[in-house]
Amino acid sequence: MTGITPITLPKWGLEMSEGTVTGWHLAEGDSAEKGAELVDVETDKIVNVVELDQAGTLRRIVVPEGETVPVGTLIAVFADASVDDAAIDGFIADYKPVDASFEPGADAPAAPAKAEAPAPEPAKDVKATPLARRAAEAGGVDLASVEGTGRGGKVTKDDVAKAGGGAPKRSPEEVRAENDGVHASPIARKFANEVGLGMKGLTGSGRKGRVSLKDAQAAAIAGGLWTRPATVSRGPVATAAPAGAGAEQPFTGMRKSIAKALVQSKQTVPHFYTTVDIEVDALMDLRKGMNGSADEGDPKVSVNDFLLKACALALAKHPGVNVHVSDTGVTPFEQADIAMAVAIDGGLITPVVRNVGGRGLRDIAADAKALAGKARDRALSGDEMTGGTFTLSNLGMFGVREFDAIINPPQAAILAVGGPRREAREVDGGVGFVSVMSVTLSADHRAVDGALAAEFLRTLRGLIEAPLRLVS
Amino acid sequence: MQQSPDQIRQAYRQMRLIREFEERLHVENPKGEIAGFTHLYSGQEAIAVGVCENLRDNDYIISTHRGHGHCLARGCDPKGMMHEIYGRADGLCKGRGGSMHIADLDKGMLGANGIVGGGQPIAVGAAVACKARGDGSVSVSFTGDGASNQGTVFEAMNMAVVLKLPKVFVLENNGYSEHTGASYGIGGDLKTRTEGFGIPVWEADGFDYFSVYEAAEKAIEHARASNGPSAILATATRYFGHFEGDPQNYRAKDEVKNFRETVDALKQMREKVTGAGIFTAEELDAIDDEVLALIDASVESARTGPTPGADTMMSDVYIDY
Amino acid sequence: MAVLTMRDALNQALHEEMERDPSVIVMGEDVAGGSGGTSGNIEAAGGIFGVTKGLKTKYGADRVIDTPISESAIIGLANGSALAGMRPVAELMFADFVGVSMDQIFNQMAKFRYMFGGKAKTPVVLRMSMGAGMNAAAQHSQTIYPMLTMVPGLKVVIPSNPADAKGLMKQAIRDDDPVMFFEHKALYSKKGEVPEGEYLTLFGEADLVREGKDCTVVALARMVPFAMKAVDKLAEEGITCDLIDPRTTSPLDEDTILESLSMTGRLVVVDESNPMCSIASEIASIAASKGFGSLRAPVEKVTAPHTPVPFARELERLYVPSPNDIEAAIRRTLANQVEGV
Repeated sequence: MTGITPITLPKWGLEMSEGTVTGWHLAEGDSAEKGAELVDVETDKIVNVVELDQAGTLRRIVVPEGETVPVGTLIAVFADASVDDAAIDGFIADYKPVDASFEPGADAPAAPAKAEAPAPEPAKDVKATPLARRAAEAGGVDLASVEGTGRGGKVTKDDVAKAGGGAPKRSPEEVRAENDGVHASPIARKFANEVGLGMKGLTGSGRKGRVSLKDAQAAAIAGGLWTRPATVSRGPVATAAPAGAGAEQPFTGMRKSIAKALVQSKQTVPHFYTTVDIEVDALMDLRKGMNGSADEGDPKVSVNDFLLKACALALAKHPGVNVHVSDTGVTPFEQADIAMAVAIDGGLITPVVRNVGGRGLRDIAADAKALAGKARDRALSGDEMTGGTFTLSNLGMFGVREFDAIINPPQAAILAVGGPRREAREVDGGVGFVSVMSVTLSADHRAVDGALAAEFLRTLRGLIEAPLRLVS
Repeated sequence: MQQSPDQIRQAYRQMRLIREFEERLHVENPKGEIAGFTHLYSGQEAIAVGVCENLRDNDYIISTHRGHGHCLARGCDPKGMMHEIYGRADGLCKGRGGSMHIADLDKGMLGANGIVGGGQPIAVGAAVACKARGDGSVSVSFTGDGASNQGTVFEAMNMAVVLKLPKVFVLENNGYSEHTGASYGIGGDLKTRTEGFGIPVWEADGFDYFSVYEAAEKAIEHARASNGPSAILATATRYFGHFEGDPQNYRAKDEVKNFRETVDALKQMREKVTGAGIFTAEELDAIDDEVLALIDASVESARTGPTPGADTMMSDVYIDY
Repeated sequence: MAVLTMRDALNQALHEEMERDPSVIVMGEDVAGGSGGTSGNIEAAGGIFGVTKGLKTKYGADRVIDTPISESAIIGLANGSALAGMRPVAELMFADFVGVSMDQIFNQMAKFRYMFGGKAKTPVVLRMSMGAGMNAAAQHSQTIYPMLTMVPGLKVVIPSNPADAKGLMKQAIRDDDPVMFFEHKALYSKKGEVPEGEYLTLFGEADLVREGKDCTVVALARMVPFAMKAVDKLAEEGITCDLIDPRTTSPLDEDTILESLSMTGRLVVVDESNPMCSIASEIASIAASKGFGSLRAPVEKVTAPHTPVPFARELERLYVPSPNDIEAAIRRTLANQVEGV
């Protein structure tokens, strides 16, 4: 041996075919012990560090940071002080990397990239990096004619590119014309035209021997025309108004507990969902009438109040829904204490309206209003937030059509209410418009079966579509 | 059987209605307000009316792409049809079907049909229902000479015979299978073919209402009396192209003109009825005036009728989905 | 290059192939028209859309066969003559009539080669017009190419412009497998440059109609010009898209779609067919199974709704996916991103 030790890009695992040099830990001239960290290499899966397997002096970094090269590429040279620079240059120039490519036909002698314009034989005595040599070969550039700007006047890849070995060597029109005659996928052609890669002679790995994007990219890398971008931006593409992502904001206490309870519920409670459409014209009319005839000071009755009442009556009719569920059994309740979801700044809170079934609508309205106010002021007592037997969540006012809600354990069900919409229906042989609202019952299948859920919803729909029973 | 003056008046009016409906569409169609394909029935009026005047309310008919005449003869509302042809929300089929797919199930009209020969097996199915109900009703299908070369028609005929169904095949030979002469496309002849299945055929002059009426009377009676299927073979011509806009390069120049001037169904009927002293020309003119006014009104209201709203886009794909 | 309509480009391809190869024959309803008529004109139609005009006059009634209205038998004619060594080009006036002749298509021609142990060649080309937009209503407007694409043994071709129509037709006639050739009614009169003479377009080779970097848009037939409008409009805002026209759905150029997706990370698929089991579904499925790592946003499907084609103009205009629908879908996918990756 010559006392020169090559360091090549390692192959980590079955699928690795190339890597990007992302950071040198040693500088040229540094000596280090066995086990010292030499260089960081990144693949599309991992970043890892190459350690020295023997002590020595780093004489030459061949692949600078940021470049992506195939497995087996010479990336650095170690040698002791007795070896002169010329010997190291010669070593690098003569170095034949292992072909670790996955491409079929890679063992076959590579056809010249441009048969009609064979690259001049690179002069051995010209100092050039391997990548520059490849670029010169691919681009048909005579290295001797290139002024080197690298260490000791060595020709670098950039020098070759400047001299016309990269994209600019041939005009885009020439490259395009060459590529038009090549059987390549249109994306490969687009890519090749962009980076200035002539594809004639490339072996295609695609259907019926077609040059694929992968083939073209490999050739472009080999030709020093292109390096694979190290990272891929995953953000949205800005259209009219860019939505920049901010830094992560840690959960507040409330969000944390909401997150925990909801994850717990969604993961452990076997949810199922049933949806019905309910015509609400009659209810709207009734509400309008009630509020129109209300005395001054009487609370306005909202759609939500009607829904609370309807749920309570439906729960009374179907007590199997008005229960708490545990791992071991079901606890029924006579009275419907209905939790209502209230959106507040920074979270969600569910105050409980007690004994909804046994109270009048105006009474319910007053209570619900007071609870919602307290919720927004964060003035609810613990008692006011616990013990619900059922939950009502209404997003109708936001124009939501329908949604599925997550059960609030240990309750067995939650009703998600969408907003009213106008819909054409067959009416007396013709077509008429009605207001329709979709409600979705999420139920815990351990306690509630599909048929019970359906019956509950049927009762609910009956009550809302013929709403007089809600006020009597 | 002798027809009463009322029946004859009704038949004349129906034929006039079909004629004026179609002649008016021929005028309106190029204006661009009417979309899609329109296939007109002018020239064949005596066939649809001669058959349908023999039907009862609980009978069924099924039609072809050239369906306006059959619909009108069966009593479909001309205004509702016109609105449908203009693609209006209040058309007979809510503007979803158009000219080629007019149906009125309340009237036992099981639909025009865009698929040549597609209606025949369906009509056999309706005949199964007639037989099952045992109410003496019959199912009538109209089939052109072109459709008579579809396998579906042969299958339908055989099935009707095998099941001994109350089914009447009305074979309308208007001389053209789209842009090709009927004589080119039909091997053998329609009568012998049909008789080959054991179906009795009554032939009629498709330009002569009375000839069609008599043939249909016998054929329908045969089917009503549980004797199995029967057929009517009527020959006429269509005055217009296969569809509106067809240049009709396959037709001799004066062919239609000659038909119109000699054997035209309405001309013949007027001559026979006035000649026999049943109605005066003035009485028939009054019917014509009433029909023309009805067509005018139908076109006017269809032109300004409401278009189907976007909210109906997904309606009626299923009953429940 | 001559500027021709798609109709004339197809006609040119048929003329050239009939001239080149005496085994090429043409059959269908009114492919010439006028036989048995009273005018004496034996080419009264030249095909209902004029695609087969001039063929009978030049090549005679033995090679250009007017048939009765018997769709099942027309396809049977093509099948049998192909097995017996001819290269039939059969026409179904409307793709909807596939319904009348489905057995001959998917039980017979599609399976001969396989069932007969690879000994049969079935070089049938089945031409058919398709597509909504002309108010031809529910039985004359369907785009049923997904139904035939799913049948092993059939190749499916769907040109979007005159040049491709010619190249694909010539390729289809020379192909030894049965080829379903869908011609969009709304494209027949669209003009474009068409290379003279020998010009073949290989199957399974997508066309990259527009080049970009932000999003991959895949469209077929009439949806290609629609997508071009949307893509060109967005380009004015600096948003650029790869627009891919697969041109054949069987074989489908998956590689080009996946390659483009690997560079853009976003996919919009435009298909005039109904949404379920459509080509849009298929491409979305390919993206999900083979391009999952590339996806940065949910795949957007732009299709007709799950309803028959309505007759009324107002409804049909809503039914057919529009350039605006495509633009909106591209904007949606650009604004979106997969969370938590």
